[in-house]
Amino acid sequence: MFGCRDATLLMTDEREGALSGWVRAKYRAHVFVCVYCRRYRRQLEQTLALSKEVPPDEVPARVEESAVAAFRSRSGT
Amino acid sequence: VTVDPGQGDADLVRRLRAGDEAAFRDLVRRMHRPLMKLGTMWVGSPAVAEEVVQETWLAVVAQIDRFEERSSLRTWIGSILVNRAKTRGARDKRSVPFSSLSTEDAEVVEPERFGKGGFWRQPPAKWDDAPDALTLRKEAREAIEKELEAFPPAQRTVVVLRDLEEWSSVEVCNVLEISETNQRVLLHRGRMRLRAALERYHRGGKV
Repeated sequence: MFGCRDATLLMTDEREGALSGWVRAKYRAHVFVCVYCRRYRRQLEQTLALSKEVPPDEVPARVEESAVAAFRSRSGT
Repeated sequence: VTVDPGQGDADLVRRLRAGDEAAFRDLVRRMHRPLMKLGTMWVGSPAVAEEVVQETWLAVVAQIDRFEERSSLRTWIGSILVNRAKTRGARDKRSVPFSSLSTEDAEVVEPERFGKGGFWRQPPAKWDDAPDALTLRKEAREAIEKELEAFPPAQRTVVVLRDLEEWSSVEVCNVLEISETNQRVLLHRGRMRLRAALERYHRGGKV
């Protein structure tokens, strides 16, 4: 029996092209008919889209300046 | 180890070797989050991770002429950091982040939501299709950041590198020295957890 529980677990595998053969066929057939699994998949995509927008951490000045100082002294020699 | 030459790396490496300070500064800024997440996995404290990041940049500067471009530049820098962080973590007697990593398939994040036969008992709630408003998107992003803080370190690193930093799976596997399967398990569990956090946010509950 291939249920919603199984389908939700395979969504990243499917997205990464890691499913094949019979499992992929069962997965696709299930998601095709299951409105809740399609919703779950859509929400994972929305989650991913939002994740990409999380702003990066700022580099503390001491880290940046010590790195740049080393870079300068290398270039200077 | 699979080869993963990074796009546009050759040009950047040439500029770094030629002493282009702006290019280097930009690299230091772009790499900060990935390096801090990677370092924290082995050394625990962000303060120590920051020291390891600083040492890593000194090593990168010293070794850039020897970079052979068999991997992407960021994988190469990440690996330098990981080696240093592992040494530091071992010296401080910290546990290895993957020692508890299950090689089993992903576990369901919210098992109680499935009933007999593995069908939905509590299906995913419908989200408002309009988190377009800037403040809402900002709040949702904050919900993601907050949930990430609660992740186990290995899971957090994989999700940050793949989904926030948009590294390829090959890059992540190479820098962490884990299999594609393990990487996908960590990534999927992490994404399920973040989705659940956003669902709580959409319900208007506390995140």
